[in-house]
Amino acid sequence: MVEKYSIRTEDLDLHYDAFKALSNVNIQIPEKTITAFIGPSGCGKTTLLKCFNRMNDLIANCRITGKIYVRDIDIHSDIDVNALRRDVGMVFQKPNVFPMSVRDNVTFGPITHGVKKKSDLDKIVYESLHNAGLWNEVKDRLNKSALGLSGGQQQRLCIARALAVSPDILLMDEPTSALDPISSGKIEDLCDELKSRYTIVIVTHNMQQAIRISDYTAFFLLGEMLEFGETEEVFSNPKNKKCENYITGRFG
Amino acid sequence: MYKNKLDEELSKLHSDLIRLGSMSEDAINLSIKALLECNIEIANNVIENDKVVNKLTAVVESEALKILLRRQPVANDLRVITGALKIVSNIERIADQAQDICSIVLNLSETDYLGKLSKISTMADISKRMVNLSIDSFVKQDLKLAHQVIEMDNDVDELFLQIKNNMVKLIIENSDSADIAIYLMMVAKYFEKIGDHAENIAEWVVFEHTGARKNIRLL
Amino acid sequence: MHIQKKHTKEKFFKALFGATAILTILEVASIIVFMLYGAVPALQKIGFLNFIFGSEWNSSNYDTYTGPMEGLYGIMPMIVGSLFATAGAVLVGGTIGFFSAVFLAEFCPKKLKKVLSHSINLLSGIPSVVYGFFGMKVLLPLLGVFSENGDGAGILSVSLVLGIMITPTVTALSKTSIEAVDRSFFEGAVALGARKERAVFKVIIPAGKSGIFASLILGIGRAIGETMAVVMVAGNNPIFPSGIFASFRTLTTNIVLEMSYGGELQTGALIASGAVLTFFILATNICFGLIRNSGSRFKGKKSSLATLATSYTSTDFTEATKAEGLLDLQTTDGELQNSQTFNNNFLVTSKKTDKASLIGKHMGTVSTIIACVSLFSIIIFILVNGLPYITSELLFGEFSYAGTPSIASSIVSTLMVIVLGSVVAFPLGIAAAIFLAEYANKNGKMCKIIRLMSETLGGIPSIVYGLFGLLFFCNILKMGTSILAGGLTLSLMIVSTTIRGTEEALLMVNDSLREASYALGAGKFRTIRKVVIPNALPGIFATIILGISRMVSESAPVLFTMGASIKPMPTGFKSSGATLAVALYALGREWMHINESYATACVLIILVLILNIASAMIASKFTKRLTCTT
Repeated sequence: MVEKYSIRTEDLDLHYDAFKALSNVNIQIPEKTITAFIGPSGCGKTTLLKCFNRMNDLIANCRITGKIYVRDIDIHSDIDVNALRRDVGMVFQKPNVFPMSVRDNVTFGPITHGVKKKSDLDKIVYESLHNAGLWNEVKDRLNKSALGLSGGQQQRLCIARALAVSPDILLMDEPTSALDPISSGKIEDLCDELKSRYTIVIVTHNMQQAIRISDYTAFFLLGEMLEFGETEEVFSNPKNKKCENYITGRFG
Repeated sequence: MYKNKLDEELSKLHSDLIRLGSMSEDAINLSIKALLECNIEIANNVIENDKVVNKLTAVVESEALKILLRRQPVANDLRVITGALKIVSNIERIADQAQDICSIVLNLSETDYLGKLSKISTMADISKRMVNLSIDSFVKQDLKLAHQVIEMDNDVDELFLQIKNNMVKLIIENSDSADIAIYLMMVAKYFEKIGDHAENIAEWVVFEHTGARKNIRLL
Repeated sequence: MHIQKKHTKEKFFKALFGATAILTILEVASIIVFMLYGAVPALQKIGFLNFIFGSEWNSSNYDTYTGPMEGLYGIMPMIVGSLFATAGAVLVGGTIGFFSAVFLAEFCPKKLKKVLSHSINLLSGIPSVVYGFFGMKVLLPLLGVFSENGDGAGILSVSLVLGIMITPTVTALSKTSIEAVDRSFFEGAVALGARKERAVFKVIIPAGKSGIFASLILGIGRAIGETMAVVMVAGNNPIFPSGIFASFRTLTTNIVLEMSYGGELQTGALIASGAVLTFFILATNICFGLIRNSGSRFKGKKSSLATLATSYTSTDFTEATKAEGLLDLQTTDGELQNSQTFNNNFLVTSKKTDKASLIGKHMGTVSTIIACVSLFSIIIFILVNGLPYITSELLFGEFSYAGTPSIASSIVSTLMVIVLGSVVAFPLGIAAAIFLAEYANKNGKMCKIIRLMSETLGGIPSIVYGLFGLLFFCNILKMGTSILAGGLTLSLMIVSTTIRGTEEALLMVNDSLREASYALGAGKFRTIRKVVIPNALPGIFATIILGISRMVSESAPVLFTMGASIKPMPTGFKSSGATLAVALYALGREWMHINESYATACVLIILVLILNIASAMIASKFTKRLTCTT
């Protein structure tokens, strides 16, 4: 069976000025799976994540060589980067809901991309919030400020906001690191539900979280991907010694 | 010193397990001695000692479970700890069986069985060596030794069959000795079980290294 | 162990700091009392309604034909003048300032941004009298070309001068509040595929709007209270402004123009118009406070919310979308949700751009250029025309009533005023700030009152301080027009900024430091003295230098209290004499000594810039140090 890959990189290098943040990354992320990126802080996992929707474009002095394919399209070829970011959604470490109403948060993306009809927008609002498991909690306060939501709800609203532009890939940068265990658990359950429709790449510092929710795990160290494989394999029989040291807490 | 607390805890677990292993080795050595010499004093000692073994078993089990709880170990650590949990119950069973053998010695309580042991002393010798080697393979984390133990179990099984036949013969030849024959049969079964436990220990030692037991991938 | 022992020292210092804080209440109270005392008798005589709504102001108390008369004191023309001037100033300065802030905060190349931000910050400290001087010498002749009567003075000229004057303030504050918006909002918007300008105008700016409004209101406050810059370009006829080139008066300029010849009734009327002016400024300040307080809360789209509520009750909405959505979910089970809405192929470039946002972006660039060009051209023009005439004779020459003027006496008077003002204002202000930041219960009544008073003091226009100084120090306390009276007046004025600046510096000291000190058993005063103040010291220094710079640049409060003309070298604090800023005003208004007036403007600008640069450097070091430790 030929597996379909949502994201592929070929010999990806990334420099910030003279600092090499990623070197020779070759990763293939299968469709409709959850892939966890693990590794110590500063190992390049978030940097790689931000390559996939070209968020690194926002950083001056950031130079990328090698290829990144999203759905077999080279994302550094002549494409519309804003459309790329629409199709490759992102959820950040800290819930960054806009200081607007819940509803406006969800509709920001669709309106940006040209959805105008109110009935369409209403449908998107319902579907996105529903799929993010938030609908029942916010349906009576759609027009109130999103800042009044709890941290966990805010993060799920961010997920809903990302879903509202119907991406097929979701990038999550430590989405639960600022949340309490119950809220984290809800997000993890949500990821599990979403994976039937989306390819999810999640950066996490929580090994147990990676074990719980991901199908594949990639381990990064100093900008290199030292291990990539099925999560159970990586966490039971890591091939790379450094990876083993890291996941067993013996890093150093 | 240790790189971290987990290593310290694992090392403590390991050394406690070795201590337990050597205690069961002692138990089996002494029970053989009691059997072959019909020494009631030694037999009583072994029975008494089993309480200590049980206590240490509980300590080792508790240590392993607490590491699981606190550290949520993965990879090698997870194998080492699950291995240890399996090994500790096998060692405990070995000591139990030594204790059972000693109970039989007390029941026999007459020296007239000594001539009827047939190949039991050979079997005792082999299973004792199996236990020694399996504990050794654990201590030295030596896969070669472990595989050797696994091979030896066939010999024990072979001997058990022979002894069984001899005992049947004994009962047929002399119905007065039926009592002794059945007791000796049980002793032989205990040694056979001890061999099995030793084999199990060896298999879990292999698992700690490969994640597979009897060539089946577990982790 | 003496756990229960209480130090009397602690109590003493708490009482001391508290007393200084209460002084601010007294200051406000005495200004209010003074205003009532001065204004009420006059108002009784004129009639309140006649005063506010009267359309004629004629203070000459002798008519050639009818003989002695009472004069007419209606300030409506001045109120209208003030409102027009302020509106014009905000139209010019607010627009340019806001868009420049957007450009600087979001679209400017990094290197350029640093240079421009710093220089705009510095320009916000340029004395208003310099703006007025420039307006009078350059803008009026220029505008005169377009005006029918050949005189450029009027609403237009005042709007331009005030607008340019408040631009740096609006820019700096708006920029700060735009930059204070969480960067993750921007990332969030861009990650959804929004273009940069859309992210900025639809997410960042709405998020920072409370700060932007606050900066505009601060600009309004500055414009409405400005005196010296206006008096030099407004034409100063006490009539309703009838066109953009018509000569008119504002409330502030009315005071400055009439005060020196005041009879009792006239003085009372002027004090009353000062009160009206103060009322206007306090009203804007209260708006400022309300907006700032609501900044953390979400105000949202109240209007759209209301319309939504009428078109849909919330349950209707829920049911409707639910039914529709569920239906849809069933049919598209397994498919990508609402994929029909978007063309899921980013190879096809979507040409959708947000035109309004794009225009906004370009406005930013243009505004920044206008702001920079006008501000720098003022500085450069004055430097070019003035620098060659900064002679030793001007700076150090002997005073003479005729011939080439020397500003030596003004320099000395300025220094003396600074010393006097500093000695009075800084200890009081700093002590009061310590009380507010360290001792007072933040939510207590006392603290709220003191803070309100201190902010009120900050809102009172400088010309009102001048009035107060003239009547209280000069007349009631019989100090006469003297450096003593001027210094005290200035010190009253800068107390509130000192309190605010110091308090900010104190509050920037991380609470964990205080806790650490308390945890070691140090008392409150010891903690303040050994931990808090040393850490806040650079910030306090910056505040002091800024206060000094303000004393140098202010002219309205010292105009009456110290004298409006250049005098011989002062012999003591009892002597009178013009400060540098007043000297510029005096020289600028006559046509005899153009070169010397340019030179004086140069000296003033250079002095103020040096002070502001010093303050900025100290402040930036301070913040760097504090951010390093956290």
